[in-house]
Amino acid sequence: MLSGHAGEILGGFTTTLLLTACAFPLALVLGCVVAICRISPVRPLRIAGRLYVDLVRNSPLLLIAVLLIFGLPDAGVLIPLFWCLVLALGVYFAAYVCETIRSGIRAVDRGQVEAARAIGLPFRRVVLDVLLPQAFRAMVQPLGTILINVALGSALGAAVGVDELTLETRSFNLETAEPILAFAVAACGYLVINLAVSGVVRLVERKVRVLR
Amino acid sequence: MPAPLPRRTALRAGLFAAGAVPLLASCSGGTTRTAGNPAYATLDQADAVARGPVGVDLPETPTLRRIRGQGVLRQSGSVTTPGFGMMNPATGKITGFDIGIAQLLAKYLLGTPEVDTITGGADTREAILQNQSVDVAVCTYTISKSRARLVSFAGPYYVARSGIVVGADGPQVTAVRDLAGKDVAVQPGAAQEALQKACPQARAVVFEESSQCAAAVRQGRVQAWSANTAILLGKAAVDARLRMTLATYGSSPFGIGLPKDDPAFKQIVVGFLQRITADGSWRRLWEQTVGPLVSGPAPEPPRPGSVPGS
Repeated sequence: MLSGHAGEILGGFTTTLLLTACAFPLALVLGCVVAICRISPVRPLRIAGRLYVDLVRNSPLLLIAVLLIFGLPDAGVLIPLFWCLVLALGVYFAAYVCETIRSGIRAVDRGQVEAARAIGLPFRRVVLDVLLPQAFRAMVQPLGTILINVALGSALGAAVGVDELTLETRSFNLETAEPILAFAVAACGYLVINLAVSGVVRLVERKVRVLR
Repeated sequence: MPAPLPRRTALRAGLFAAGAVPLLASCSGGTTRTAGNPAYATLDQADAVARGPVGVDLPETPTLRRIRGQGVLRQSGSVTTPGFGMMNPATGKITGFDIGIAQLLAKYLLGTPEVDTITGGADTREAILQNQSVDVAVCTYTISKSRARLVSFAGPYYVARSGIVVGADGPQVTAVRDLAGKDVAVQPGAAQEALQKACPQARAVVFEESSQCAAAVRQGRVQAWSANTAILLGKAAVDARLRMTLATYGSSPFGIGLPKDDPAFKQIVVGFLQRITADGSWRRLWEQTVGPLVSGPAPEPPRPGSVPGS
């Protein structure tokens, strides 16, 4: 029974992967920009960054997706459903990325920066050689969690016409009336993605580990 | 005693509110737009339910004993299908043909139309019937052989036909085969199934809400929207930017889904359907729910047991 629908379910799995692969880098870039705003010495930028995080983090992802999908065309912009969902995921998780980066930087002891300055390092080297390497170590795990959440969040595509894993699973179930089998297969699909992400996160963590 | 909204219904109401966003957004467009068929707001099956029959001398069965013990009929239903099960977010009341059938059944079994609606959608109907999370499923539930392996069906109690709506300046569609290669908006469940069966070459784009399907057609995201004719006529009649085509196709026999392990209970429900079709309750319910949305007189009710799987 599964073999007859393997093609569709595999196609859905690929779409889920593509959604994740497109949305996470977008969230990273956008999140970095917002984080820079939030820790910059310029007050209006700080306020804008905080507004972004507060607004986006307090809206359900579905609301943002529906707004982009049905709001943008009324503004004259008709982009395909797939990219609408990528945009929604990117915009939404950027808020979380921003907070992760910010807390990572805050986690670096103030004395480190002060010491670097005291030995006369220029600003660029203070940031690149002292601050960021240490901050990144604290960000690896939470960024991995965000990546997993992007993959899981992409399941909302099922409600808004993007034929990713969950939607294909629902269609399979509609035809065969095998809900337990269908959703168990979908769960395995997400599990594969998440185990792969955890594996990569563990590798990166080992790479940036410092023996104290 | 109105049963409190179960959590899942509240969740769906939230999703439903999210679906209202495009409507709000589109209000700022400047052109005159309507929020939907005013008939939706005034549908009310209370009178038909109040005049429905109460069963007498029903045989004891495990399911019936459980329902009577609860004092309420737990059903898997929809709150997003206009004409069949649609929740009015302002009042929290669900109106439509399906919820009316469920209330009539509750009245037949319990004496009072106490119904607790759980909205699992089309995904979980078999599972929650099997694990007894609900007693019955009345939710545009198309009778099919693959489902009849898992659950019992009493019915059909309604035979739906699918129609096709296009944008005002959309493509010419005279038959379902014209949809081949086109993007077609559908809601998950009966409509998606009927489309896939009648025209597998059409690309189904699944939206949760009927208002989202309508918006997708208006905005040119899809070329057509296919659904039950009652839903389409209700929307297309009041929106100048949608055009109802003459093409109709398929026939989806809707049945009441029941647990497989209680054949005696199925006989009670079949008896209930025969009773309401004979005494005019069925026709009255149709006239108060689907009737105002479509044109023409009430159809002949289908005969229970007349399709494979029932």
